Amino acid sequence: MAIVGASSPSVTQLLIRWNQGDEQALRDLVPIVYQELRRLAHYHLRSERPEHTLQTTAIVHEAYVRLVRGQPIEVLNRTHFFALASRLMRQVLVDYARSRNAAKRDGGCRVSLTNVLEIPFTIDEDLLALDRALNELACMDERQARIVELKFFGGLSSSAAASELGVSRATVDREWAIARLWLHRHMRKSA
Amino acid sequence: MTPERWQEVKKLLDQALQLKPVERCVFLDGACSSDHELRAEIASLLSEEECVRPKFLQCPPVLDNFNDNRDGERESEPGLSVGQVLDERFQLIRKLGEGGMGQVWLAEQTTPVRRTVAVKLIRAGMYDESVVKRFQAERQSLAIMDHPAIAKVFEAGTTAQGQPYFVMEYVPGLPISEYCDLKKLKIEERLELFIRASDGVQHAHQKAIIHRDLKPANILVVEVNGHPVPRIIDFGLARATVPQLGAQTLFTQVGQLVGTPGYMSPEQADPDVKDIDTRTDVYSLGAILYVLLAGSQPFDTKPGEKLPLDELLRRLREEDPPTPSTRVNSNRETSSATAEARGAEPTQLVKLLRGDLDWITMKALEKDRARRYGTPSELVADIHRYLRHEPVLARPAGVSYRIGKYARRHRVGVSVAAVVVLLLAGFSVLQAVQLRRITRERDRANLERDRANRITDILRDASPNKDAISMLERAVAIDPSYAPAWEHLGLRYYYDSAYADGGEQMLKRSDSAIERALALDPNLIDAAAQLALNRTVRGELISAYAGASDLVKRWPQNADGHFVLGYVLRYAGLLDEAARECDTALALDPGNYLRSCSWLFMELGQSQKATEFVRLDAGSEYAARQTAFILLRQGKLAEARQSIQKTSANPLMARDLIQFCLDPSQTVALEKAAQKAEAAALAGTDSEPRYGIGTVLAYCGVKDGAVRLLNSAIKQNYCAYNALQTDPSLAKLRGTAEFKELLSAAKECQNEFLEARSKASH
Repeated sequence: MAIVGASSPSVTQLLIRWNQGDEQALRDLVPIVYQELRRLAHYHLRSERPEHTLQTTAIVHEAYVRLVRGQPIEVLNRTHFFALASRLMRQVLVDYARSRNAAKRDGGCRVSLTNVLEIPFTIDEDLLALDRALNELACMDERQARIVELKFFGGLSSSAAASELGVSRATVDREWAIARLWLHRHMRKSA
Repeated sequence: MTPERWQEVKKLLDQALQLKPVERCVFLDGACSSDHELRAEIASLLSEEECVRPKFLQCPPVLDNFNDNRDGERESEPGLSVGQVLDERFQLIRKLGEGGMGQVWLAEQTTPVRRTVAVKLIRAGMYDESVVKRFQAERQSLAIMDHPAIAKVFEAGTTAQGQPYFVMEYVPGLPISEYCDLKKLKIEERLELFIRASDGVQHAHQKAIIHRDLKPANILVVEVNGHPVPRIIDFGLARATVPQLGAQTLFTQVGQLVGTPGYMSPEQADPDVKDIDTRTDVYSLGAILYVLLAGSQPFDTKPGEKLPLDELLRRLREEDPPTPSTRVNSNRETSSATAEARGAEPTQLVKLLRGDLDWITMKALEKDRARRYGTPSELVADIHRYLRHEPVLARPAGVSYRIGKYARRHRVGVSVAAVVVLLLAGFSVLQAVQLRRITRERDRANLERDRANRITDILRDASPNKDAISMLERAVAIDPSYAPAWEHLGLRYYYDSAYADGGEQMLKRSDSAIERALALDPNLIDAAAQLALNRTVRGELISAYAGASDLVKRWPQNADGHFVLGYVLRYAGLLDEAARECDTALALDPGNYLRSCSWLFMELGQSQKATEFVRLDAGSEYAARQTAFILLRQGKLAEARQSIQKTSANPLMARDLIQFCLDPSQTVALEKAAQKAEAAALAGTDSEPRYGIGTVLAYCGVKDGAVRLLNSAIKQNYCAYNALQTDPSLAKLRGTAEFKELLSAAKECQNEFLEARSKASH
């Protein structure tokens, strides 16, 4: 008669286990966080209000609040959550942009509702170009690319990103400034 | 570029960036004198600085549903044109307007009757064909709505291009707020109009139909024989356009936001709330009333200010708007225009709104729907009271306030009572059934909160609980097939047994009411939990355990199941296992009152955790006693005495016992108090208080009484084998011969449970 532990572990528990090096915990976390981001994005999009917009980073924060649900969580695990969520948010947006581009190539028909996220978004930058540039940057400098991901897709402040990566805030700011230059040049040239 | 090379570039680039532009050239010449490639790369990135827009990558992506047609992404509406005929019956005459949902056209219906109708076309791609199917499913109930304030929805169909549309009565009127301002209606006239609209909403609720998107634009005013008449449009549309969300489809079918920010209820703004009920319309009516009185929406933004949606939703869920009178008073720029449109001076208007009308509006706008008016007719009744100069229910003081508080505390009892009263007043059976559907939905939503409040007050005053019992008994007599009423009755009987003078008899009644409830609906978690609890206090641990572990198996994410399982394990003396269940329950639902978990941590000598579990219950008599028990075990005697003073004279609260115990001059009084407490503990059905009082007696040196009580607790399967060894209050007893006997009885008790449990699992 199994009693305890029959329920699936909470997001907090998974974060702790991941932090302790349990790779399976990360594999379990990804779909949960990804689903929640999608769910919230979708939910807010259905608002029908043209005058209101929502930053994707707000979704990351809302996902955090909902998934962790006020359980005690260490700062370290919290930044881990944001790191993961910012990467997944990037994925969500790139997936959408790809499908939209694919649809355009196919003669401009509407993106099918069933197999695509249907998350329209406005972004001042060309998202797919940014994604490619980031991948390339990551080959040279993994950490620098992470900083962009955390700040741009995760909406983390410099100090939050710094504590996630275990570096100083000044380092984050320096890397960020340089990354912007490099990405801008890369995207301009490939445009 | 290699990573190593990039590090080099970065290092120099960073240094260069710290310099003024004019100095950079010299710096680079010096720093990379021999490496031309390096210099070129750095110079290229430095020059990039000039063409980077300041905002580049500085603003996160924005989700944006409706602005994306700028790149031609959104297809234009399929060509609708004047004269076009839909479904061979509806000839489009002219476009009336366009909203978020789609276009509205004036049309002429030719067969079977000739009439003018409004056709609402749902924007392409927003909803699929299932809209029409859902509408057809709702049609039956829409058809039975017949009220002068409700505009009829006739039918739904699909255009040749697959675009869904609704055909409804054409109402050539103005939105209620515009009409009132245009005609400069006085506050009383506005209230009259509002009451008639609310009557329409009440009528729909009686047919079990919720509007979900009430706003001024959906309450149009037409003049009939020179008199204004409100007509509510779009009834039943919101329902049809939102798919049913089952619990399993949480992640695949996303909660869609229906409603208009500003008029939308807080629960609609919360993606986690799935059971929108009639009180959502009460909220929207409150927001409309607010506009009619104060001239702006409860969460109005300043002109030109655009709130992001998430911010608006957050305010809607968390912030309280200013009262209507404060709103008028605080905005000097608009207050004279607002007042003029109401035929008054600004100061007059503020005076008129302050008090009753403020209270009424704010009660309708309560965030917690349980604290709103339960129905539109309750709201209307309060407005009538205002118009008749009678005290309104929303008044936050005095007797009415206390009644309101009572209603809030004993909501289930009251809502069921409302049904009973209506039934007795001679409602037709059909309406009773419809009403029951609504009440049932509402009861379920109330359960969570109700359980939080359920015991606290009964200790002080048992009569509200007894009232609730008699109302529920009448309810089940009228409708014996209504499971939630049986369930609540079962809970109420238990409270009477545990916290008033109900005793064994009420506990038995609790069992049978709950068995009735479960026979009607085996998925009532509260009932199943209560049954396991009843068995536990009686000492029927094996069957209690089976019930509780079944609960946990079926609903592993439900905190109550874990809580009850912890309850059984605590009685069985398995404190570590019980602690795990309590921790799980707390993690699953940190807002749940899990106060009796406090016992086991107290028995383990873990004062801090024991205190944590009564924290949410702070202020109640139960918490005061429990805190005193814990402090006593910590040796914090002055604080223990202070805490126990907050309890009543009920001997089970141990107030006198602890006070006399802590005063060495009161040995005679202590003896008397000990006898009283012992008798009270032995008279109750539950074994835990015997243990609790027993430990206090042991602490106070009343050895014989302590042994009798502990023995009796163990005999009734409060095994306490761990507790006897860990509980700090038993220190004085531990060396005695009697204690050894208690310990071996406790061990036997626990072994018996363990054996039965392992047998059951094989």
